Amino acid sequence: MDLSEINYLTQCVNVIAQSDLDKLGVPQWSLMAFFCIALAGFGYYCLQYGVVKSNAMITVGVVALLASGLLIAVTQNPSLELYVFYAFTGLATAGGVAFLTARQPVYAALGFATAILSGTGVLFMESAHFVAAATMIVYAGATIIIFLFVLMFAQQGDLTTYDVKLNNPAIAAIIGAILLGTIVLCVQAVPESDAIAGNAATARPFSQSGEAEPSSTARLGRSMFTEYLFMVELAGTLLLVATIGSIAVAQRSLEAE
Amino acid sequence: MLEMLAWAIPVAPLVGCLVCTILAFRGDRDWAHWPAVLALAVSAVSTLALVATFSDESGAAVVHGYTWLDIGSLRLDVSLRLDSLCLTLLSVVTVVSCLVAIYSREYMRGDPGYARFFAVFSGFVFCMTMLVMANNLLLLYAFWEGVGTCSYLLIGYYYRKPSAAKAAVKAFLVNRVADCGFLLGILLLSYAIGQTTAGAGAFVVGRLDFATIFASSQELFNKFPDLVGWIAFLLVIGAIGKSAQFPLHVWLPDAMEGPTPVSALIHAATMVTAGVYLMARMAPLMVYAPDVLVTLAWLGAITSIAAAVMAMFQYDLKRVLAYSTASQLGYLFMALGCIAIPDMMTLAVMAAMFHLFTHAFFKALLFLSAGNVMHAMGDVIDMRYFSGLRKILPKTNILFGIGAAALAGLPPFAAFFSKDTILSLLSDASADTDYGGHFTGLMVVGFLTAFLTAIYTSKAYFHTFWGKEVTPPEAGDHPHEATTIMLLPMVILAVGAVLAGLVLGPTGSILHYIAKTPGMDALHGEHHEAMWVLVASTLVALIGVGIGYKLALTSTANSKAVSNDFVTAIGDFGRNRFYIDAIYQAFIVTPSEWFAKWLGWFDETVVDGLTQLIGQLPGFAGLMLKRFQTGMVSSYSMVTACGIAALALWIATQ
Amino acid sequence: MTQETTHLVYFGSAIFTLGMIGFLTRRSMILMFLSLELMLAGVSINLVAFSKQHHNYQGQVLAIIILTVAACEAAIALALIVSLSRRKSTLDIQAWSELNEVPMRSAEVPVVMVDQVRHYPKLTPAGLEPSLTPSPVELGYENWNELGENTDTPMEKTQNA
Repeated sequence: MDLSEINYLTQCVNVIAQSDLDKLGVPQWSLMAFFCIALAGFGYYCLQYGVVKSNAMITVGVVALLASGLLIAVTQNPSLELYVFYAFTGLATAGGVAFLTARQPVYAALGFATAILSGTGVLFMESAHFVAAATMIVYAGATIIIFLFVLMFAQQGDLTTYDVKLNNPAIAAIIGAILLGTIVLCVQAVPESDAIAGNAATARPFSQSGEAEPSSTARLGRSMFTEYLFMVELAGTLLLVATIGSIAVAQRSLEAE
Repeated sequence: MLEMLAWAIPVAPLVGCLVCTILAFRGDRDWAHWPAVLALAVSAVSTLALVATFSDESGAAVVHGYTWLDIGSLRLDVSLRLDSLCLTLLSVVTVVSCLVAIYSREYMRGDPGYARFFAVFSGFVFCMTMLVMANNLLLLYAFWEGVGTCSYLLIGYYYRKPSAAKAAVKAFLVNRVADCGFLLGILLLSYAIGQTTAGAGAFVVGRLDFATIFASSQELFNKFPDLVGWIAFLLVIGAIGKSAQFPLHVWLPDAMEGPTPVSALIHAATMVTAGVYLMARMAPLMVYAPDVLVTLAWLGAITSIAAAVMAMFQYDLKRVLAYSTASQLGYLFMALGCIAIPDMMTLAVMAAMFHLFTHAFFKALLFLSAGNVMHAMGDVIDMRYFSGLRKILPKTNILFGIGAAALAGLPPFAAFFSKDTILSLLSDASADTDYGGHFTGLMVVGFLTAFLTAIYTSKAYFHTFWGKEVTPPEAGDHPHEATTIMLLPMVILAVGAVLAGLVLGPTGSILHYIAKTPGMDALHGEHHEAMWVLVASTLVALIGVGIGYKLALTSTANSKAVSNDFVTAIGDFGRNRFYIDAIYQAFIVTPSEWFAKWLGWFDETVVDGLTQLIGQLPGFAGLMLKRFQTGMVSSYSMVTACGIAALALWIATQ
Repeated sequence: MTQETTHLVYFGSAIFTLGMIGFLTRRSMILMFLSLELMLAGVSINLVAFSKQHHNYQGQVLAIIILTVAACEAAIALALIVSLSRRKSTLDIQAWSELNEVPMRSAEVPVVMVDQVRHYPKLTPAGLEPSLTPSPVELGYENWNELGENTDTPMEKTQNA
């Protein structure tokens, strides 16, 4: 692989990333169709045969990740921050895929936890510290623990049919590919700009005062308890109702027995 | 003050109606007469106060109420119009209804539907007063239907009795035929007035204000002479339906199935005069359709003589009075026909209102007396089962006698004057060059009817109260006279029946009072009744009474004495109401039933078949679609996701 | 949009799509529920990205609300799953299909057509009391209008007689 080829690849990746598709002379939707077909095929393969079950697949995945990281390092000359970003997103996606394809429910749960925790890392990088922490606690903490608890409670035994056999994997993969392709296409259609911060309709007084970077958890708290107080109260009420509701549902099931 | 009095007249009965309705739901049988009588008394006093105080330079006052409806170009104001014409009828309506309500307190005592009776009774008075006072033809029409509904409810008061229920439906349906014509007339009039200068730009309903109608009638005639005739004709159809004139008279005799006070008030004194009032009210417009008016007069003449003949042969005392009502209303329409003669509009309206006024008193009196008889005889009203009641019912005897004398036209009772006013009006009209011939014929019919009226009235009277004393078994051992509360209002009515004609007629006061109504012609000098008419009608009445007396006593003595073939034939003809009901049955009701049956078949096979066919389509679609309805979350979510994907594709291709 | 936002949106969408595919394909109720959580996480990431894009906190607040809703959902969904799995002692979602349409074969069961049970609404005919008690005239009472409506019903009279 000599340098000129790498340069060509660089151009291609750049062109796709910049959504400057006219330079390729290919209509956007046909590119999307290609993308979707590739994605659906990959998805279907993963779903049908799983990736976690064989060590070879894991190896291939890790190698592919490393290779793509290397490719990005060579072509984009990124900063350290971008490396970390790509690492987190890659890990999260891999976790998601593992969640989808694992046969053992416990493995699936671990995949889910991986995806959520990596996503939390991305959130940290985006200066949404409070959201990240809360997500980590709620999802990766509470939800997973309860889930494992229920799983152990409801299912003691070997793999069952419904763990192994998936429901229409092909159609699901196609639909997912179409959806993702559409989102990519639509986002690319948006012209690139720095920020819409100047837009008076969306900008709120809190964000405009002082330093433009919304990094402080304190500011988020002030915003929540002044501007969005009603919403916070509403969410609290919802929590209360849900607590009562879950107790009622669980009790009724006990009575039914 | 004027506004308060004017609004008190309809609102008081309305309040009475509502209170009585509440009492009716509570099953009251003892107290319901209080709100009704009090409300009607308030109404009557307000009317009399208005009659005493009302004086307006223009002759009419409009009391604005409120805007009932305001939609785009349609605006309906509820407002009242006061003038001499309307006050004349109002005083009759409220006073007579108040008296009849007092009478009903005893007559209806203990009846299961006591409160219901008074509720509908008050409701009727409310509708009738609003009808009379309406400032707008459409409002008049609304309450025209209102009195029809109340009449329906009261005829069918004894709803468990099949004949009463049938009579109620019959009255309602016959009136509906007429109201259809009336409504078409109103719509046509509204359209036509919109084309004139007075009506252009006015609201659709505003065009139907009486002032606008009167103001634009001349221009209307100049622009659309034919259309005015049609409008008048349609209004006449409405009037003859409500006033029970040939050929729509068939409902009135059957309406006697209602309680007797109802017959007295609604089907003799007030509601049936609504048609006469309509014609009198619209006189400034009707005058432009002389041919229609002459037709109306002839219809009245046919009704008056035919009903008189029918009344001759009835056995049912109330039906005799019912036919006599139709007959007397025919008189009124004959008088109204004279509007067709130039310069006689005021006289014609006056004569009609005068006779209406006196007729209300003596006919209510007669009906209430018949109610007394019925009460005493244990609800038997067939004259074949009783006679010679003068010892049993001495006071009723006198009161009935006064009423009968007034109806027969004996001087100096009320109808003598009012009937002579009409007859002399007809004789004056017969001098007209264009329509004189018609009115000569009408006058002859008038005299003939007066003669027959005297015969059947005296026959009924003498048969009931004189001769051998016979009572039916239903009366029990000891038939009794009516109570004082029943007799008191009758005495007042009797005073009216004796004096009303004498006070109002010869002095000319009613003539000048009616002439104040806007839209009426100015009076040309003094009006004198022809002497020969007075003499002739007195003679006719006396001879008629004599014949009636003889007939009554012979029929009492020996009913076989008059079994002449010819008389029997005529009698059968009369008793069967000239077979008009049979003709209606054969030519209208039966074909309608056939048509309805055919329509039913069409509906069941063709329309329903089509509907069923269309109804099958979703079934077939469902057969295909139901395989998606697996009841499983996975497949539902899959379908949803497919929809989302399709939506995404659609967005992507935009 | 900045490139950073674009990448975040891609990432959030990928997570969302993965969750959706999981929801569609997985048959275990618990895993379906976890897929829902994954979808919500994807949406949260998008919201945070746009929050940064717009330099305000709307998106983050909304993400927190979503977090709350997710917690509520977890509580109720797990309670439901527990009660459902107790009923049929399985976590398979396809065990629950009671709400389905009748299978194709049983469509041959004769459907009762409207023709045979046609009942048109009828008004009470005039003159009849709208109730089931027979009218006095039918019972042979001529002096029907002297009967009380409330105290002496025709029925009682007949029985007394």
